[in-house]
Amino acid sequence: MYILYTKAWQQAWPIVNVSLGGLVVCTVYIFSTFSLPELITCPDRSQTYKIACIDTNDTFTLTSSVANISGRSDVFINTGSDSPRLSVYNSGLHSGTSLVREAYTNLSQQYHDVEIPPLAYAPGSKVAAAGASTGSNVLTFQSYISYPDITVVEIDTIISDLYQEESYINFLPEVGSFALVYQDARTFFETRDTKFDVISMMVESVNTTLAPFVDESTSLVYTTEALRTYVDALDTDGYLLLQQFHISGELGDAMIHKVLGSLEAALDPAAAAALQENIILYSYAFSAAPDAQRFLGAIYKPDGFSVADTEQFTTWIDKNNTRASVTSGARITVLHTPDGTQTYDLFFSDNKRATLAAFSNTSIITDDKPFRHLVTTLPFPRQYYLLILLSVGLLTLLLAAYSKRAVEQSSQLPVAFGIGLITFGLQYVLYYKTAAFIGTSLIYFSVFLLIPLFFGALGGYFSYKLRQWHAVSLVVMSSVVAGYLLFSATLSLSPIIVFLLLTVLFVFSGMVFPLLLSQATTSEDRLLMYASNMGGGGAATIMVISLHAVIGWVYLFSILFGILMLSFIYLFYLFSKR
Amino acid sequence: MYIAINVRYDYYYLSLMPPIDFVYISKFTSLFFAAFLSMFIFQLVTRLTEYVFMFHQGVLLLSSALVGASLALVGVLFLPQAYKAYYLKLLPLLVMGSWLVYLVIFVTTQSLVIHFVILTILFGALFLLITQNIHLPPNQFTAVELLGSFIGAAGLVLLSFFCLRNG
Repeated sequence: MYILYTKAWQQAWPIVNVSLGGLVVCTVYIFSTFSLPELITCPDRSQTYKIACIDTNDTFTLTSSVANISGRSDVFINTGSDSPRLSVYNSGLHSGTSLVREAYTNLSQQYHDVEIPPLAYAPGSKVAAAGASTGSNVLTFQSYISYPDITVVEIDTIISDLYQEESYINFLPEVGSFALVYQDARTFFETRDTKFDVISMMVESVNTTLAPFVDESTSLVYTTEALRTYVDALDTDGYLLLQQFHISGELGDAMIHKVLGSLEAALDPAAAAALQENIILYSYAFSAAPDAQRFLGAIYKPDGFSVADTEQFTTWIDKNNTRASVTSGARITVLHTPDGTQTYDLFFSDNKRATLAAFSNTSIITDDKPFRHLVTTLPFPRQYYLLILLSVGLLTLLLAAYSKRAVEQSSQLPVAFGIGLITFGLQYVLYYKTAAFIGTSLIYFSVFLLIPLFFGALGGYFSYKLRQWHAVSLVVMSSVVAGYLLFSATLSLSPIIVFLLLTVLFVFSGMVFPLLLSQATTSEDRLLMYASNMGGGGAATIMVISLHAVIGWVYLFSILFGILMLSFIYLFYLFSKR
Repeated sequence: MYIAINVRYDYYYLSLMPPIDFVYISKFTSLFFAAFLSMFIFQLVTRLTEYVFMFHQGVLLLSSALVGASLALVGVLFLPQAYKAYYLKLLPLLVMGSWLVYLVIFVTTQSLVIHFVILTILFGALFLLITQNIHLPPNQFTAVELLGSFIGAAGLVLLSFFCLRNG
C-alpha cells in the first residue's frame, strides 16, 4: 500500500515490480499457512535452546500457536513417552510441561516430583505459586497436599487460552481447584498482607548460548528486596521453594552464590546466621546424559525442618537413586542438608566463599543491580562491544568527512550523538525501574516504548511553544518527579502513578532534540544531526547495560537525568536567543 | 519564539527532495506514513527477534541495527547526485525488498552478523524515508514522527493481541 501511495513502482522496471509482487504473494501464503515453529530451521542445535531448534515428529507435534501481547505461545503435545505431555513455549522459551491429570495421582520419579520434593506440608496449606508452569506445579501440590488452597500468580494469559481447548483440559488442573491471578509476582506479594504456608517459584532462565555469559534474564522479581517480600509473606513454619537453571562448574557455583547471598541479605541477622540450618539444596537433571541441563532446587524454612520433613526428603532421594539406572532416569544430587550430612561448603565456608568470589561475580542481586545471573565482569561477550564500537567509529568518520564538505553545524553533531545516547538510555533505564518486574523481554520493552513515543511527540510539539516560565516550571517538575522515582519503591506504587511520573519525564526528554534541531538552518545539517542522534540511540543500550551492572541504577539514572537537564537548559538558552 | 523555516529554500538546497512523487494530502502525510511504517516494522522485527534470539542478543541486535541505519543514512550523502535522486525514488521498493530478504534470513539462519547487516539496510531505508521530511519545522517534524511511530507500534500491538490468534 505504501508503494502504491508513493508511486515508487513507476520508477522501477516492470519485471522488478512483478517479481516483488510475486514474492509478496508467496510470503503472505507461506506465513499464513505455516506457523513459525514449522518455518524456522535451526542450523546448529547447540546455538540456542529456543523453539527454533525443536524438532517435531509424529509423537511430538505443534497443536496451537497463540499470539498475545507478550509474543506468542506455542503448544505441543508429546505422545512418545509413557504419559502424554503438554508443553508450552513462550516466545521460543520453554515455560512448562504438564502430564495428563491422572498421572499426578501417584507421582513417582516423574518430571514434576523431581522438581518439587514431597515434604511434610500440612493439609489445607495455603500455597502461592509464582508462574503457572502450564498447571504442572498446581497438580504436583494437589498430589502432595490434602485440600490445598492454591493461588497461581501469572502474567501470561496462555493458561486461560488453554482452558478454551477441549483437547488440553485433561492436562490442566480442574477448573475452580485453584485461584489464578494475573499480576506480577512481586506486586502480588507487596500489595497483600496474606501469609502463605508454601511459596514456590522458578527463579529464571539462563542464557547458555553465550558461555561463559549467563545473564539471560534481568528482573526485579528475584532481587534481595523481592526475596524479603516473599519471606515476609511466609508463615514461620512455611516453605519457600526456589528453582533455577544450574550450569556445571565454577559459574554454576557463582549462580548458586548469588541466590543464597541474596536470600541471606533478605533475612534479619539472626535468621541469616541460621540459614545453614534452615535450607536444603539439591541439583537435578531429567536424564543421565553428561551434558543434560541441570537445575537447582533450594528450600528455605524459617523455623527449621521437622523430622517428618527430613524423613520425606530422604525417602524421596533414596527412591530416586534406587530407580535411576546408569543410562536413564532423573538425577538428583543433594548439595546441602540442614543436619550437616551434606554441607555446601563453597558458600557456607568463609574461606571457600572468598576464593570463589575472587574469580567470579558472586555479588548479591538488588533492585539497584538486578542482573541476576551476571557472573562475569562484562554483560556481553567482547565481540558484541566490537560490533557497536566499529559501527559508531565508522559513523563518526563518515560524519567528520561529510562535515568538512558543507555542513554548517558540525560542532553540534557530537551534541546530537550525546542527546541520542541520553534520551534512549533514559528510556531503557526507566524501563528497568518501572516495567522490568513484568519480565525482561524484548517484546515488553517494545510495548513500553509506546509511552516515550506518544509523550515524546507531545514534548516535541510543545518545545517551540515554551516561554521562559514554562521551561523553568518544567525543569522543576521533572526534577521533583526524577527525585521521587529515585527514592521511592516504584513497585509498591499504583501503576497509574508510575505511568503519570513517566509521562512527565518523557514529555521533558521529548523536548530536547527539537531544540537542538532548531540550531540547524539547513536540511542537510538536520539530516546529519538526525543520523548522529540515532547513532547515539543505538549505542545507548549497550552503554546502559554495561554501566548499570557496574554503578547501579541510582547513579546511572542520576547521571543521565542530570545531563539531560543541563542539555535542555543549554539548548533552551540558545533557542531563546534566536 | 517560533522559528519559521524556509521550507522552499531547503527543499532545493538539499536536493534530496522531492525524491518521491507523493500524493499531496498534507505536508505531514508522507512523514506520518513513513514513521508509521518504520515503527510497525520495528515492532514486528522485535517480536521475531525475541522468538529466536536471547534477550540481550536481541537488544544488541536492534541497537546495532540503529547505528548501522545511521551509517546508511550518512553513507547515502556520499552518492553522486544523479544516483542519489534515483535511489531515493526507489526507497519504498527497497524497504519491501529488504523486508522480504529479512524474512528469508529469519527463517534460515540465526547468525547475528547476517541479521545485523539486513536490519541495517532495512532500517537505513526507513530512516531515509523519514528524513525526506526533515525540512519541516523541528518541533512539527519530531511530533509527527513520534506520533506516527506511536500509532504504528500501537497498531502492531493491538493487531497481535486481538487478531493474530492461532496464526
